[in-house]
Amino acid sequence: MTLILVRKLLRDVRPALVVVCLLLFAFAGLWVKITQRVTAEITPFFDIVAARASLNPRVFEEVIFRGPGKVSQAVLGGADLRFEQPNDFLAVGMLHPIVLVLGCVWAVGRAAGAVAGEIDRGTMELLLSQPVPRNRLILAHFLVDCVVIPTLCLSFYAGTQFGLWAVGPFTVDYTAVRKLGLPIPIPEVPRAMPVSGTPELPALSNLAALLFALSGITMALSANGRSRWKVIGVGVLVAVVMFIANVLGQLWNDVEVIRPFSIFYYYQPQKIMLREEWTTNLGAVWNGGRPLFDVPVVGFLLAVGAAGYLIALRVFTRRDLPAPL
Amino acid sequence: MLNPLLVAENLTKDYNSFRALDGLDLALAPGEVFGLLGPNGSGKSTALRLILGFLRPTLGRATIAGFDCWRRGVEARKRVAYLPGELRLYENMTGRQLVRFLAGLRGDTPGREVDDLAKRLDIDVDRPLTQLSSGMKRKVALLTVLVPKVPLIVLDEPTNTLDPTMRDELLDQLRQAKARGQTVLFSSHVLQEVEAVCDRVGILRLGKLIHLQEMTDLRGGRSVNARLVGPPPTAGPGGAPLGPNTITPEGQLSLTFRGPLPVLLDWLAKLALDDLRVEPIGLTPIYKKYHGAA
Repeated sequence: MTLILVRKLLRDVRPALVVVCLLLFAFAGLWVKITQRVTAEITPFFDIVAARASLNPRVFEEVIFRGPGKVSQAVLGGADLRFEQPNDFLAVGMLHPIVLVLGCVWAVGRAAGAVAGEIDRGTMELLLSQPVPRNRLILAHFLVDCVVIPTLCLSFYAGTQFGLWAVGPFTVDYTAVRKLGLPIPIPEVPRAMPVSGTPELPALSNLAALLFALSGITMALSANGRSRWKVIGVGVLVAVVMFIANVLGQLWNDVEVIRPFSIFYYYQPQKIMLREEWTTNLGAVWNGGRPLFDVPVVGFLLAVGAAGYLIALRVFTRRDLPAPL
Repeated sequence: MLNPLLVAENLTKDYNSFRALDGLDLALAPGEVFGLLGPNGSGKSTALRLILGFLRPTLGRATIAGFDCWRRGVEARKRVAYLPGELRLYENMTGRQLVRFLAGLRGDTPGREVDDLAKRLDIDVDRPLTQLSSGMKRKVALLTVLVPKVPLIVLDEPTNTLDPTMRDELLDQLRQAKARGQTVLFSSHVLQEVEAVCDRVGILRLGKLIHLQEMTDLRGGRSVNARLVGPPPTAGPGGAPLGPNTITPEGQLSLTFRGPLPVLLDWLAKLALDDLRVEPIGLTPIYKKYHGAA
């Protein structure tokens, strides 16, 4: 029975899943090209200009990305990244708003349709007039998440690998700088930069966990709702409020204590990708930088999602099934 | 009643301070066709939804084959097929896919009976549901109800949007279900179709079951309407006394007779009549008694 439900639910989401997978694939491929442009063409330009002005090239990075505006942290989310390094810049792709918006809209939209959407459409009566235990329906949606979310993440990974194949080696190109005719020494031989998409794969487990957490939260709302659009509205509101709370905490140290209350605080795939750091220490925001305790970021997000599903299970197995709107 | 299939005991449902169903007591025997009558808001759908385990009773309980419809809803629903009043189907499926999907949830694999029934109901089960009219969709839904041979069929206003031919076909299918020993519980606004197939009817008003009617009692009675052109009779059929309002000053005769038909015909033959109409009593006067115009 569960398998029949899972197959049916997968069939329902198939068209939208294909579209979102293609979008993630395309974005990841495009991000590789952007990474190549920035690290192999733009960064060398800054390096040369810095040499001309007798400055350390890191000055540009410090001012633009990690200066008072904390642009990199607030906008790109990539604290402690070195943007002249291809893999560092590649990691920012997972933090890009396009990826977050696509993922969040998917997770919220699908979970909202799970219970509230079925009630809204009137098909829940048809389903539950069969000998289907309500908990099986929630279990089926959980299993669909277990299939669909990794599929989305693998699409992103496939896009990165495709992009790396299509773009080819990252070679620093001094042609544009040479055309400027600056009176400084410019290397004659193009320099190859190391880049690899493989470390992205484990880091994408953090994206999968984030989507699962959002799905679980929305599932809890959906199990108690009867209108899909109302649940989507509340789900999006919750996601946006948590996102803003995390950004505010990044911008102003005075309010950074609120960051751990946002699921986006535990979304740090760049640390997993670049330094294999799977935990975050809450002392950074709750104890003035002194170590407090480590929280496994993937585990925490999975726990949030699981809690959402458990709440959904409890609510849905006890509630009245209202007539369709 | 010995071994009833469906039992409702003091079945009550409140929505905050509003009581949608008030202490329903009912027992349906295997092979019985029972009609629930009442206007909108009388509690018909609430009663059916409680029986299907969609709603948790505020008080009382309903059981199907001894299984509590809320606490052991899965076991109860194994024995029920349901046609909702507000019909919504999975539009991305064909009729055949829908029947297979729902049968799969019951652990069944439908065979030739799908095509046989589809032929009788005049449905193309291989067309996507999104391409079907509302009447055709209702037929597909009927198919999903008739394919599993479960002990209880629950239908919420089943003839909505069906054309007269298909309405007759549905009623025929319900008679066949009864002949197979299946119990049928259905709600309706249409008194004629209830009269045509039901063994018993219950009339609901403001959430309360206010009248239970054995249809055999009605079928044994006739209403007589005639216009007299001669002297009025001094007694009714079989010498029974006539009521005060049986004959109007204009000579219009109206009475209800329960008894052997020859007695009535003998009595009528002795009267000078200009016009005559003799009909089974039907549910209309009973329904009117509780709900005004039918």
